[in-house]
Amino acid sequence: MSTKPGEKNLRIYNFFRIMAVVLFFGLGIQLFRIQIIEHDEYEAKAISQQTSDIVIEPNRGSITDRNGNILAVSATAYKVVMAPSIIQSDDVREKIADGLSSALSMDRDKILELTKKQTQYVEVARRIEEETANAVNAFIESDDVYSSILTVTEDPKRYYPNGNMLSTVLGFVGSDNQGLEGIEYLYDDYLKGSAGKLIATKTSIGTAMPFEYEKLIDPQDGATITLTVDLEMQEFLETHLENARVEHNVQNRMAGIVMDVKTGEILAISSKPDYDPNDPFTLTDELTLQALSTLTGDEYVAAYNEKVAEYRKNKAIEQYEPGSTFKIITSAMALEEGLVSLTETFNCVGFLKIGSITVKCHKTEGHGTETFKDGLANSCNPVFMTLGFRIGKEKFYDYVTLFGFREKTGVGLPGEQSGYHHALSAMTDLDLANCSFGQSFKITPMQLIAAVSSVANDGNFMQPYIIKEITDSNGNTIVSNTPQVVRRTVSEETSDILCEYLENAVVVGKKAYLPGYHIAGKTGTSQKLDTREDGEDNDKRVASFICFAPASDPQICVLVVVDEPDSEVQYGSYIAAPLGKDIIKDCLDHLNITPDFNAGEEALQVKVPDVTDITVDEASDKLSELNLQVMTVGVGEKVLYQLPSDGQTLMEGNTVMLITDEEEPVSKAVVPDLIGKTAAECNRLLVDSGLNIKIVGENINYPETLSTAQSITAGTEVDKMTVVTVTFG
Amino acid sequence: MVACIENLKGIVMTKRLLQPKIKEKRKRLPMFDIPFLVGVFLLLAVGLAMLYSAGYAQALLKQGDSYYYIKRQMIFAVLGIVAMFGVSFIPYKIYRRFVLFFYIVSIALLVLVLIVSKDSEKRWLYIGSFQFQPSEMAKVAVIMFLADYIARNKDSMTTFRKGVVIPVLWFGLPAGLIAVETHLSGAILITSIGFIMIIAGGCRIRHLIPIAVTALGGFASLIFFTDYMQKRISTWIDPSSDRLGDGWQILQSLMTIGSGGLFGVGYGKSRQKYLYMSEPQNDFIFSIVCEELGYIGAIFILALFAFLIWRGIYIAMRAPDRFSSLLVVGIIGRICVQVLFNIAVVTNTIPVTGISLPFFSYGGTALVIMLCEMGLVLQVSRYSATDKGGAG
Repeated sequence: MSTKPGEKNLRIYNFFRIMAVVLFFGLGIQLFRIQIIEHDEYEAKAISQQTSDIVIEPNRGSITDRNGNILAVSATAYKVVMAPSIIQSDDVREKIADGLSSALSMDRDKILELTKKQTQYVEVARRIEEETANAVNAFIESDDVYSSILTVTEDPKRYYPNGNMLSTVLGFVGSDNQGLEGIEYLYDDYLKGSAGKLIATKTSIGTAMPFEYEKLIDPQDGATITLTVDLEMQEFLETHLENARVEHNVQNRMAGIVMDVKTGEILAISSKPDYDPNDPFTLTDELTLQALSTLTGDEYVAAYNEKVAEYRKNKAIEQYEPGSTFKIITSAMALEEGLVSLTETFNCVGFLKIGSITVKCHKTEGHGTETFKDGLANSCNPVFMTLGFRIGKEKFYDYVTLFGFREKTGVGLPGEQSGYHHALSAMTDLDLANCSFGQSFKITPMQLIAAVSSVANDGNFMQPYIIKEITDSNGNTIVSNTPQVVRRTVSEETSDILCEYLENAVVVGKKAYLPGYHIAGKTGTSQKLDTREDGEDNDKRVASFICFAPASDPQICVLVVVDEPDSEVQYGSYIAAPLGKDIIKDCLDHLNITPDFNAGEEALQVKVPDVTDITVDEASDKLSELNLQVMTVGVGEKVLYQLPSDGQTLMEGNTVMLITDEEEPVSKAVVPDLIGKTAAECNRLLVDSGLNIKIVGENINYPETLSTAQSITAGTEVDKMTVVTVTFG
Repeated sequence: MVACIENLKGIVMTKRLLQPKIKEKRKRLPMFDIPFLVGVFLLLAVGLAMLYSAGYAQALLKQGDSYYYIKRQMIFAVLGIVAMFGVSFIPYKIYRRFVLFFYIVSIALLVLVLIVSKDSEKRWLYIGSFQFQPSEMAKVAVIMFLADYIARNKDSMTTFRKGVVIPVLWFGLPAGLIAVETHLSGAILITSIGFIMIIAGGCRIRHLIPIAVTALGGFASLIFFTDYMQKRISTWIDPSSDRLGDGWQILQSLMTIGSGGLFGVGYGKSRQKYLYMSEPQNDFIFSIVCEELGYIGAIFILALFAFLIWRGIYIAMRAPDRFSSLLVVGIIGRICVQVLFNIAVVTNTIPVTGISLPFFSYGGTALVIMLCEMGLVLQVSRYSATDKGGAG
């Protein structure tokens, strides 16, 4: 201190103000650190506490059939959420329990219990309808206290308007709207969309700030998936499968596929029994429930759950034993390789010896001398074993690969399986023999229908697909599948021969024959591989039938698989063939591919047998064997009389009316005017009137040829089921 | 207002050109320091504007009127400005006659508040509907009393007894009383001002060493032996350790300051004031300033304070006598310490102490008294212009 006492110490003054500036500078640095360097970090923290995100759930995309019919759709529903931890008093708890139980029609004690939980988030009710939500909202608004405790938010709900229909394909969604099975699962990323957000500023006590700081990130609704499936054909398929299941008391499940031969589109696909995706955890099948009713307790629960899981599976893409239906493929191999002559003859003696082992034909007394065409129609095992040996293991193996049996078809469904085959190196002669008639390996129905369709489609193997199109919520197409030829399997010549021979097989087999529809197909009855290996239960069978039509220009292919039918006759021709026929007939009619009658079919006339004085069931069986349709009138058990009476001639496919009730008057029908119409129109008019048709004429060339005469004049009143002969050309 | 300042500038200019004539004029109309006055008005204007913005949400929530704080503060500001000019016209020598009186009254009031106040924090005296903080008055009284004491004892300031012990006792008494009010920050402030004044007054620095050692020792033992202080220190080191207590406010303050960035979110657009910061109109108003006006705005305000302090010391250096000079040093020192402590607290540079920001924080008594102090500085500045001992 150099200053004299009493003087103002200017140095100290200067020191003070410089110190002040230095310290201020220090504060400036400190602020720089916080405001500039650590700005982002602090800002993020501040924003996260200042904003409240309200998640806006997107609407899950719909699933529709090819014509836009809704198969799965999300609709807005609501949920009630509670924050019990902020409830202050028991009084409020009681009031909430009262209010909510009346608004939601829920148990009061259950709600009271929820109000006592020490948590911020409890879902009181989910997927409630708007009306109920409004009632809850009215309660919340009745007192300010509730507004911070209870909220009602959107909670999309998934509806499957057609119930069980297509369920094993569609799948279902879980509680958070996530796809759990089927298309819902596999295409979840497309369907779910992305959630939106409403970011709103809030004060520390949760109220909104007075100025606008809101940001809305729109939710992106899920994409709509259009399937190749045609809902009407799906209905035909499912109805027929279900009926057959009951009729034949099918022990295991059934599968069916309808495929567009030209494009590879899956028009219908089903597994029965299935489930209702609106309520996927409940068994709905009466037969199954009856079967389970013998069980009790844990056994019942376990068996119930097992069935629930099993019925979600899509059997159409799971392995099975194709049996004789595979003879189409063996035939294609032999024809393609020129290993069979159409004129040569085979001699079936009822078995064929493979080394020391005798492999029997299904007709133990043998088919005798037969051509290849006959062999296919007879489904003669020795003929196909012979062909198998001509083809040889290597070629057989290569063709199995070429027809796509060694890979998944990639149809676009989850859980699809591939085939189960012998390794080439381990294949014995016996294996080859068994393989040639479709035994000792497994493929999936989807693989078979794709392979057979390629044979029907001039050898063009079409990629099977079920997803036609995926369009986003703005209508932009994201995915669009078009028919694609994967490869060629056989030549057009081979294709033509097989179409003709397989139509012949149906005509000879009769069970699937429908006049005018030109159905080509092959039945199959296979021993179940797994059960046979166990050494027991080797009488279990899978009956199947694959067919396509019209044979001259195949449009659609149908495959039905019936696992373990419990009838006296297990063979495919008795169970699967009529089923496949019914399905393909409905599908062809739906596609307006109407019957193509020609004169040659007059040969397919039958004499009506006498079915009176026997039971209706017996009469039906008798008539069905002759390919006659049955119409029952009355509720009696025995047939009192029949129309037309016995001895009359009908065409296969015509209808016989069975009258079982004494009081039932003999129905009369008025003959319609049939002149100048196509065969299809005439048939429809007569069927609608309850009459039968008989077609005669030369060179009928559907559909141009028109009718020129009718045996009974229009306007005449006749008994029902009277045969009206219509002349064409 | 601007026109008036321009006018005044004109007078100052003329004064320099016509030195002798002005010398005569000065006696009739001694001019106060215009830059200092401009600084005061700028700070007051910005301070009021920020108080309006920062207190908006709190006022609405707690008082139901978003203008509640600003209306009251404006009234006090007007009163304060009137008082400031009033004070600035009365020669400081007149005040000097009353220093002992002020001091005794202040001490009396500090004792009184301890006896009569029913608040948990015994800070307020209520006279009818009017409430008053004796500690605010005590600060001015101590400054004036110390200035007078040092001026009277200017020749013995170098002694330990008269230069250190006696003045420390003089400001120690009110500081102690305020500390008993549990108004620790007030006590710290008075102590800081006291030391600044005796150092400026010329005491021997080495005489302060025992005092400093005693103070540090006392402070350290406070830290080590009281949970209260330890908690404060640990909260300071890691605010998130006391997330829901004191740490909350400091965490919020850092978030508030940090979200301002370089340019701020804009005046009036603070989001943190919406009840995240508790009482953003008081001690933590600077956080809202940083959020709304950004780093640029914060530095501008810091610069304004720095300017006021710089200019204040300049006035003190050119003050006509020892008393007036130390009076200004005390007042300026007080502003400086308050600003430093306040901003250091909001930036978590030091542990939390409740020191308000002059001109910004809500508080009528404090504002009026602060403006009166500014009036004192202005009064002194009237005589500084001709002080040849002054250096700019």
